[in-house]
Amino acid sequence: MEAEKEGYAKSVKSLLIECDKKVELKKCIHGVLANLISVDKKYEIAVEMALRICYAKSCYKY
Amino acid sequence: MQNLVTNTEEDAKKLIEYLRNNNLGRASFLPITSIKGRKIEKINKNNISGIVEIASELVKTDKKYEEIINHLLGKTVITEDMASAINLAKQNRYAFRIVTLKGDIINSSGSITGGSVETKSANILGRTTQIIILEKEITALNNKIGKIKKTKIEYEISIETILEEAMFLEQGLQEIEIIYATEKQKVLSLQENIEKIEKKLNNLKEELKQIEENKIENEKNIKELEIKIEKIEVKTEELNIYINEFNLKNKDNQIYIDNLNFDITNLKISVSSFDESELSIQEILERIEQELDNNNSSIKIKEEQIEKIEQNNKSLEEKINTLKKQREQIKKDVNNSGQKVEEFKNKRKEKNQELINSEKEIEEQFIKIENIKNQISKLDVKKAKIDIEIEQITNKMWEEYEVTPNNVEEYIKPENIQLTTKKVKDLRIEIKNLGSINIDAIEEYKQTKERYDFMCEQRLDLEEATIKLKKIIQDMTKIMKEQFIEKFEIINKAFGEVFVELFEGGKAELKLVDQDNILESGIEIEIQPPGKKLQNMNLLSGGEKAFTAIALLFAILKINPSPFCVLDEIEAALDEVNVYKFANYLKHFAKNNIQFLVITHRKGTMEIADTIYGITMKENGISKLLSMKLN
Repeated sequence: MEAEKEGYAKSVKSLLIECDKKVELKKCIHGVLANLISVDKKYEIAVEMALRICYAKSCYKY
Repeated sequence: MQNLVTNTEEDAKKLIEYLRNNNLGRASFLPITSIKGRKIEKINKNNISGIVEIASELVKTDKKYEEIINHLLGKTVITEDMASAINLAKQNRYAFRIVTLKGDIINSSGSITGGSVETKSANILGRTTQIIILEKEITALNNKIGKIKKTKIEYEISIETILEEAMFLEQGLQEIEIIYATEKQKVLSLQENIEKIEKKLNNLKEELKQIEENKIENEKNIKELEIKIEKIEVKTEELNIYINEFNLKNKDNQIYIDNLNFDITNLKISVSSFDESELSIQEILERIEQELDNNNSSIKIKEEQIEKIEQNNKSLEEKINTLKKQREQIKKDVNNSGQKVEEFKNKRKEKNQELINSEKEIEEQFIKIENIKNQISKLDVKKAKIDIEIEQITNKMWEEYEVTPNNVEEYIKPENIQLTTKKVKDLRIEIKNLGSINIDAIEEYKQTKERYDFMCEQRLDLEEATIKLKKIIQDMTKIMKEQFIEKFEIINKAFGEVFVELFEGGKAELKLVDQDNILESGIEIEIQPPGKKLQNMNLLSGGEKAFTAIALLFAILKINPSPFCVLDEIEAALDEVNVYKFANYLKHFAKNNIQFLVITHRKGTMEIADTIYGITMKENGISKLLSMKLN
């Protein structure tokens, strides 16, 4: 699932796939936020929901 | 959640450019250098239970992403449930966002979002933690696999040891079998021993008989000896009597001698008295002396005889003694032989006992033998049955399949006999269902087969022919198409020219209705008479139609002129002017070595003819011809 970049938005997915191919793009990206953090299982849903709202807002912003 | 973290804004810019250039959609980026997060400094808890923590505190991440996390989650508080979340929001006047553990959200604007969460597809955050857990599980499972492999190896070793044990046990079995065989041999030898003992017993019986005979003989001997002893005693008595007699005789002789001695004295007296007669007397004396000598010698002989007799007596006594001794010994012997007889009797008893035992054993053995014989007879009966069955089966095999048991080995043994028998039954039923045998069928089959083969050949020929014909047709259609298109174009061109000539202007064209299927498509004629618009031929007047048809006819004739041509009232529908036009054109055409035979009742046409034949019918059924040469 992770390798196929399933579950990400189309744009993010294609960008990540492209990054796996090209080194100069890969340098720019640290990664998807979800992959850079870890949360106790108990708080997973809460944190995910909080981040989703942020994402929606930020998308709106840009 | 799906935000992409970059180093600088420049990087984000580059990536956005890339997205735009490739039309990949939108994404949001979080440059580390630019984002500065703020955190809630104070929460008015006011004894509200169920507050967990500020969300950014719950997230574990690298230090360089802290600002981003603060930016995203610094103003979010997580609570246990909705009730505490609402309380907290009220207490803090909606200063920050509150999220419950179930994912319901109270925004700082006061709006509340919530409901069920699609855990499977959307949970990207859980995925990373799940990946870590799953990797741990994988290592644990790998360890387990290693352990299982070890135990597998151990099991394999134990299997080998068990196999070795099995080998040992088999060897033991073989040894036991050997022991069993030796025991069997022992039993046989015991049976032989029994037989030997029986023989011995018989011998002993015979011995016993002999001993009894001996005993009888001994007893006879004893009796004889006793008789002998009696005889000897009688003899001794006789000898004693004899001796006594001799003694008496001896006395007589001494008396005789005494008498003689007395005589001698008497004679001596007589000698003295008879001195004179001495000579004679002496003679007598000599005689007497001679007699005396003789007597003495006889005495001596007698004495010797006596001595001999005495000696004989002594020897006889000795003999008697020895005989007595012998008798005693014989008596002893008799006693001894009695003991022996008793011993033999005892022995006989023992032997009898042994005999009884052996007889018992023999009886047992006989019973065993009988049992075995019974078994053998049963087995024989079984064998006979089986033999009969085998014979029946072989007969059946020979009758039904013409197969001997030796040949059977060539056939494959069926794996499932029940299935095969069922199959055989089914086949039998099928054969039955086929009905009675038709002897002519073979001949019929041959004929039919011949016919069938012949038909097949013919069919093949026909098929080949059809293929060839189809190919030829294809080729022909191809050629036809080509030729058709070629000629069509030529005719079209000629048609246009002729039309212009006939109509003195305008435009005409032939068109194929279906361009793809040329050979079967209809042909449409589009014409534009002078001063009119382009239209279909069906929309023209009758005269125009006829004139157009004539134009087409002449166009064809122009391309492929035939030497002789019959025209049957083709200009009947034309008006006067057009008739003259047609007639002129016809005349013009006739110069090209084409002879026209025109049937007409139009004067214009008649005018241009070289020769006119008039046909009238004065009376019914009788035509009359009238010829006229012009020019």
